[in-house]
Amino acid sequence: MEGRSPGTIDFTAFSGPGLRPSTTISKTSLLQTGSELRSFCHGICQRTNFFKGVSFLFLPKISSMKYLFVLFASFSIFIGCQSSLSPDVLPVLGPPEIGPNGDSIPHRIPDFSFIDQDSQVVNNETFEGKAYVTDFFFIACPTICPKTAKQMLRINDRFKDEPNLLLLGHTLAPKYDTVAALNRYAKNLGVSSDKYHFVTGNQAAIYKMAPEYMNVALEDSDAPGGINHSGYLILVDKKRHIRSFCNGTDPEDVDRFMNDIEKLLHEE
Amino acid sequence: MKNSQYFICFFALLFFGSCETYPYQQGKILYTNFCENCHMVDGTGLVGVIPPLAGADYLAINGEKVPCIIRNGIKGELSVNGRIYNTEMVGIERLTEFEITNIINYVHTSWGNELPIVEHLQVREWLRPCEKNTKPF
Repeated sequence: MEGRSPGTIDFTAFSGPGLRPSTTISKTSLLQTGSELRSFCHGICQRTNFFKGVSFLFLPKISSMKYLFVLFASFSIFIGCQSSLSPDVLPVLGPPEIGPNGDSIPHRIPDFSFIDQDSQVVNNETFEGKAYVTDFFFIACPTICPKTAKQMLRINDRFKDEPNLLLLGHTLAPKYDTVAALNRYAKNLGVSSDKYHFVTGNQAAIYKMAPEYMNVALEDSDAPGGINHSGYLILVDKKRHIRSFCNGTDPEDVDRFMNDIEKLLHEE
Repeated sequence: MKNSQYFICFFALLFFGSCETYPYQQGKILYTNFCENCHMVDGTGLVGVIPPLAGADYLAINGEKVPCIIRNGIKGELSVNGRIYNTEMVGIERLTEFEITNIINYVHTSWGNELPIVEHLQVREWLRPCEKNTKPF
């Protein structure tokens, strides 16, 4: 046993967020619809990846049998989730609300209205009957935005002939990213507002939309560029439900995301 | 006793020296930390917004301006491979002459670039026009 008390190690290794067996069971029993189950499993798989990545860190502390067990367990969770990593139907993501009868109402993007690089009003009607990919950025952003922009361009290029997919970029610095600035930016990138809307507008209204798309956006003088924000790309379907997301700075994750877009476009 | 210490040092140096496969490791690390977000991991920049470093004619034509740009940033128009870029770049004042030299040499030898290696004395010379911010090392 190499001087370590049994049990403790398994727990350490399992202590990724939400991965304790007890939590898993109670949460599973709360899940009602199939899509919720899938989205939950999706979450587990992402954590499992993390967990697989760190499991070797515990290697020196545990006996080889334990290690084998942990490896096997993580592997089987990973394999078990494989099917839901690429589900036939994408899950509906986001925090659901509880309805009057105790049924869960899936998260839905609320109404919005902004102005794009060609001074057109962009609101929910712009995306009527279409899916869209959205992100939050600002032109002078010195950190993640150029990388995210590059991935948005990849999506733009791959789906440029697909009329049912649009792109929407929200600026987080509307004071500087005016219509004129966004127009120049879009021209430089070589994208058209038929496909890719860069929107500006009331700052508070834009910041309020970020959490609706599961993004973080806050002004922070300590952050480079003065704004602290996440670089997730979000896929919204025509019913205003979030169906997939990815890390906009990771090209491999974006590959997976583009497959999800493909899948959504072939839905129905 | 002293001799054996020298020996150990010598062999350690030999060992680490032989393991080093790429000569501009520091330049690579600095590039990742300070440049990669905008100029990208493959040096391609962002079309129309951030100029590329891979295959950029600017590096060959205006190589002497590069150290000052890294240190103090640049504002205004800039032509790279026949295209005009006009995005402000912020300088990284904390970088030393040596670090700037290493970054330049990393860029000069990466992504198919085959530009001459620069030495830090040369870079010191090129930094003179923006001397107010020059640091001794």
